[in-house]
Amino acid sequence: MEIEGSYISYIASVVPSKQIFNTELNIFSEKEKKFFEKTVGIKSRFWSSEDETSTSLAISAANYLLEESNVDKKDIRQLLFVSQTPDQQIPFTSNILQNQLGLPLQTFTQDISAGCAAFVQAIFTGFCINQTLNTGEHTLIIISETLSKKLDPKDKSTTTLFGDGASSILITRDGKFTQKSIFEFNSDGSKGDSIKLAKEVTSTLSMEGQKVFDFTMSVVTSGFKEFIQKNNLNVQLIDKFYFHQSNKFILKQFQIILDIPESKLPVNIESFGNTSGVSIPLLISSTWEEGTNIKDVVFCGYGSGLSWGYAQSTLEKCKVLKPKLCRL
Amino acid sequence: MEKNQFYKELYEEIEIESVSSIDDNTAFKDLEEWDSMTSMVIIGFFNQNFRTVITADDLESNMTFGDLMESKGITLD
Repeated sequence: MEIEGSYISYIASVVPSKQIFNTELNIFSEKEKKFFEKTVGIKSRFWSSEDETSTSLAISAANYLLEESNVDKKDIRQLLFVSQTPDQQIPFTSNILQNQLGLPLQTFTQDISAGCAAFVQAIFTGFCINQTLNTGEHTLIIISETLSKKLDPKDKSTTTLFGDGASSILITRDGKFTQKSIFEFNSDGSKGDSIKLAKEVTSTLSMEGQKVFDFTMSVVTSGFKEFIQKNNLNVQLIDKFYFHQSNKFILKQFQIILDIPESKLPVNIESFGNTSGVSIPLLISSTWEEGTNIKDVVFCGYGSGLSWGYAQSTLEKCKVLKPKLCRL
Repeated sequence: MEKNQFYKELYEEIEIESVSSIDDNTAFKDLEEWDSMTSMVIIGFFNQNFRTVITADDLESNMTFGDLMESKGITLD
């Protein structure tokens, strides 16, 4: 699927102020901790306090972007809120955010529930609905997750991995912008139980680690190769490959299997853990260097559903803001 | 890669302390260190050295490192 006439113009990310190191989890022996840090690669993650929620993180991420950009709020015509951990079921969060962010009453608002592939799914949706806008108008996407509130502290397979955070992404319509963005998606609901959070308030996230590991090592990598080949992309000409940050070890295997130079596959999981759909924009925010010449990029998101998606796009016109800590 | 060198490096990679060495006859699931992270490291070690992806089914259906290598068509001197 190819789309032109839009580009990512801003990315801003925030994390909650509580940084949790592995020793604070009280779940590892010293030997296990060292082995975990060597393999999975996570040394800390940021977790929300009781008062911080997906909505409050979303507001921080969006206000950060709005304050640092010169975007006129009346030009934001569509607002997408993406999360698996919304504060409430009714009303839907994007409508709350329209008011909280001071966006016009005419804003089209929509919530999307998506997992670790959320960033790719969300920007695809943003690019699609941007086709209905005029040049200079925007879609604002906010991805926000507080999975820490849904973790069983005794479950090593989840509580050690996940962190919280939020990112806001502005997709700008420009009818004269001819560079295409390319998207591919896959969905396999037959493996839906592999990563699951039931509806009950007291439910915690469960994950069948080995199944998910097999999925990433075989299905996600073969899909990536097909995406590259089908769209005649040259890995050598891509500036960066921004992959979902699930596990440092898996990212290393991707690099080997897909023959991607290490310098082109940034990793930030050491500090932030796996932040689900937030991980790719947070990765961009945390590894971006001012004055950098990153243009052509590939995104790869994969996770619950099971779902996985790939995109080739450009960050040539994107202003990336460094991640900052939320302050209530 | 020579077989002895392969096992020496794998032994160090998975940080085994319960036995003094590993070889073709080592039943990996019987190791004290066996857990999901250890299996992940073994999978990665095979990927890095042989460009071969080992799945959970491969680990389940094989008892020893020798069986595992044979099932993936890997031979070492």
